[in-house]
Amino acid sequence: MSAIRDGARQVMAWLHGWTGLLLGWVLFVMCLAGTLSVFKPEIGCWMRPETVATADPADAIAAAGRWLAQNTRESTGWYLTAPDGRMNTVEAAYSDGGTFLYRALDPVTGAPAARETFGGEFFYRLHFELELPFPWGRLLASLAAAFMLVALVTGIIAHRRIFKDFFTFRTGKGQRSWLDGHNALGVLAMPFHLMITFTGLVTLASLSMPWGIAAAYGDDVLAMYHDLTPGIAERAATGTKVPLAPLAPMLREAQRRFGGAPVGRVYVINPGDSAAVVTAFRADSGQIGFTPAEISFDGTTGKVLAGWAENRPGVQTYNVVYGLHMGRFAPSLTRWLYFLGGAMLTLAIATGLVLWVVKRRERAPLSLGNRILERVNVGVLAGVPLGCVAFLLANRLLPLGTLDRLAVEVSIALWTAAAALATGVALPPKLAWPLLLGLVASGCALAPWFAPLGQGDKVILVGNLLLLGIAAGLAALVWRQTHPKAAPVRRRAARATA
Amino acid sequence: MIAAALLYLGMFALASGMSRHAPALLGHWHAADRVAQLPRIGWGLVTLSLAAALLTPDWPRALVAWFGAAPLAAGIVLLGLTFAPRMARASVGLAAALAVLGVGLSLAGARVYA
Repeated sequence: MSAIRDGARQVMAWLHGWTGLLLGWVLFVMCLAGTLSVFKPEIGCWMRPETVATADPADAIAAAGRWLAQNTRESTGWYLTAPDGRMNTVEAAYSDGGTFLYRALDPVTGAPAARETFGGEFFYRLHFELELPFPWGRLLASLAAAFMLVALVTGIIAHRRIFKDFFTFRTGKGQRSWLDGHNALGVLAMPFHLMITFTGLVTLASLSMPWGIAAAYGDDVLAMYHDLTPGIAERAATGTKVPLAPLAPMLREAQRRFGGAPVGRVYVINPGDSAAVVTAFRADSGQIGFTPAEISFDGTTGKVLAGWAENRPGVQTYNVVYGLHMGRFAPSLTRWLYFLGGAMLTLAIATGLVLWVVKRRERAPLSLGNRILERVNVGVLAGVPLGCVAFLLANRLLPLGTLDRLAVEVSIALWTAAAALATGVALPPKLAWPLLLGLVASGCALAPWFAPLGQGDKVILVGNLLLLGIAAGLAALVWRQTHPKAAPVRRRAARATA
Repeated sequence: MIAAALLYLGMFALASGMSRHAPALLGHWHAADRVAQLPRIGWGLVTLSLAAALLTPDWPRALVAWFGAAPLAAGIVLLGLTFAPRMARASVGLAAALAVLGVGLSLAGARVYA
């Protein structure tokens, strides 16, 4: 019986290793970006220190609407997210003369923020789109999430002493220490890891498993969207130009119908057309379930066209699952716990990838494949954080009026990560680890000092302290790498000879 | 606050109940007969902590926070017993004080965050 159990464990360990390895680097990027996305609005505030004005959500959306009406041509839609207690700008995605743009708009003037940046939106998109074109990024993210779920379940089964080793971390023992660390990071936050992976998978299920939708609706995707959100009124543009009615009264009416809850998102479809529709969604921070109510207005008259408060059990179940993944309902303390869980998962993946190499190195000299793997590990595990830090530094150092500043910031982040990957592959790991991690530490240590003077906002201060803390932690790590006490293998060899 | 403090106490008791960690965490106390009872006490405290979270008016959010606080409490115990067992032991007093303070505050009618 125990032979069968041990055999099953070995198979699970094998599957755990390979699923973790095959998409481990992709999962590392996703988890790191996802962890940072917990603080998406706060990162936005940190990256736009000049924009300090605040306004009521409805007033801010109205201001954004006035600016967009004057500054966009032939727009097919504005998709606006209202400011809340966490972020002060209006996030606007809109089409202008055939191109689709993203801007953070000042809540009072409605004009784009002086420091144009994607802010936290960069990490959020990176988390599930991986900077790849639609739908390939999302499909890869789905596949990686499925691998993650398999790796988690097989990891639990393969782990021999989940409870006995629950609190165990033996330092300075080579492979044993890496395994202890990997196990602790995985096991202590296991419910979070399972929750976040499963809910993430469900979030992209309409894309990765579309057959249910296809069976019920065929090619008529619009009918599906209408059934999902009956409060969105749809009508085709007429081509007749009629100015958009003021948004503020519509938003006040929406808030009244939401029982006083603030407006979260606002879509303005075909603005300036006689068939314009304005749809307001209730803010989603009030409960775990996401988007519980929406209401549509005629964009030219302000008359209510449709309204919906969600209470269908099936849709609500999905909303709770989706809401759990997004964590937007979370008060500040819970948000930090999400951050902690995400950080633990990111580190579990990183230690797992390192462990693959360490385990094989302690048994025999590494094969060519594993030597390449070891170097790519360095490039990815240190290079992706370096790209993230480069993004923050570019935000501080690029002049304000730079042409296409948003895209330049992203390019700098991606090229830095690519250069770090190349460095990791080119240099021996003994050199590349401290070099790249040292660069990440220096970047984190430098970024807080370039903020415009006199910006004493709490979010910026906490962000700066966090960066300095990460810098200190990484600096200690680099110090340990460059000043090894005694290699564990040598110690074991010495004991054997003694 | 009550739930988080109880979680730490529970995790500490669970770790102390393991023969491998008892000497580091309990110091000269580890020989006492009560060590054998520690796992049971630990599970009891963790259950109590979950109950404290579920008894708050906004229990869905408190439940999510509880699942997040569990790795935090266990992580502090793990790091404590590896690097600073004295600090881990001293934190028991702090956590117990927090739990008592939390219970006192909620009995006095104040709103205590889980």
